[in-house]
Amino acid sequence: MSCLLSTRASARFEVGADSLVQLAPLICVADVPSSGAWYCQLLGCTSGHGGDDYERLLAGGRLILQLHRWDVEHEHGRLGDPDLHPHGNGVLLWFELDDFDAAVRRASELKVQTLKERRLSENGNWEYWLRDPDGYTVVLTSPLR
Amino acid sequence: MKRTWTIIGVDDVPASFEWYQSLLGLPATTPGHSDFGQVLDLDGTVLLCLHKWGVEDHPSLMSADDAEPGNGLLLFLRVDDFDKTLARARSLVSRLQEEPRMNPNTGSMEFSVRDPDGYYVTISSLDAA
Repeated sequence: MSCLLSTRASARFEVGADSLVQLAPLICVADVPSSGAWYCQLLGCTSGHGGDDYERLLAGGRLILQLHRWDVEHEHGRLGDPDLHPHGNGVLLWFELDDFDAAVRRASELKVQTLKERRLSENGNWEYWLRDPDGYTVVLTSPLR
Repeated sequence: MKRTWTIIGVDDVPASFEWYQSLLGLPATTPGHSDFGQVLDLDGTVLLCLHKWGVEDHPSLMSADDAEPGNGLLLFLRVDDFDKTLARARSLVSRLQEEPRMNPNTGSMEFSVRDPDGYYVTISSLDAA
């Protein structure tokens, strides 16, 4: 796990709200309102859009994740094949949380599928790995040092 | 929420690292490890993490053969130098996945490319959004 948490650069900075480049991943989901509510409950983020086809999830006023319904082409054509599993092969959505312990409790309340139990990593941060409702891999971590 | 990262599994970390730095016009550096690298913005913000397939037992990072990499994912990057990014993209790929156009939903210009591992990358202009 050491390689994932190489904190040489990241520990110095907070979120890049003022950056000249910003990344906000978009994932395709089966049920946008349901997944949006799931992420909001898990992470404490808020809806910035709403609706059945598309959602923007915000934290501290910053766009952190976008949700898009699998079968709506919108402006991008079809973004993937919902019948091809697992979804998001090669993708980890990593969330560093001030309230990590509370988030793990919220995950328990959501009855998520656990991939790696809450544990202290060799880097000194706590981690918890889980699947979101569509099968994407999500990692919760306590603040990195 | 303190920070979010997106981590993708790639076949060749140094090569993908160079590709993203070239696309975004970032100074050329080398990844911290041969199997892991963080693409950083000029202010040090982590934009994207690249992790070699299969070097650890991380779910979803085991193998590109498990399923099409990035199925269902769109890496949405907003940049403040859209035209220059477009020119750099054209030099990196033989064809764009989507040619530049106005996205009426965002009110911004955008285009899309596939990265070396096939991940779908959309570049959107930061100015108008």
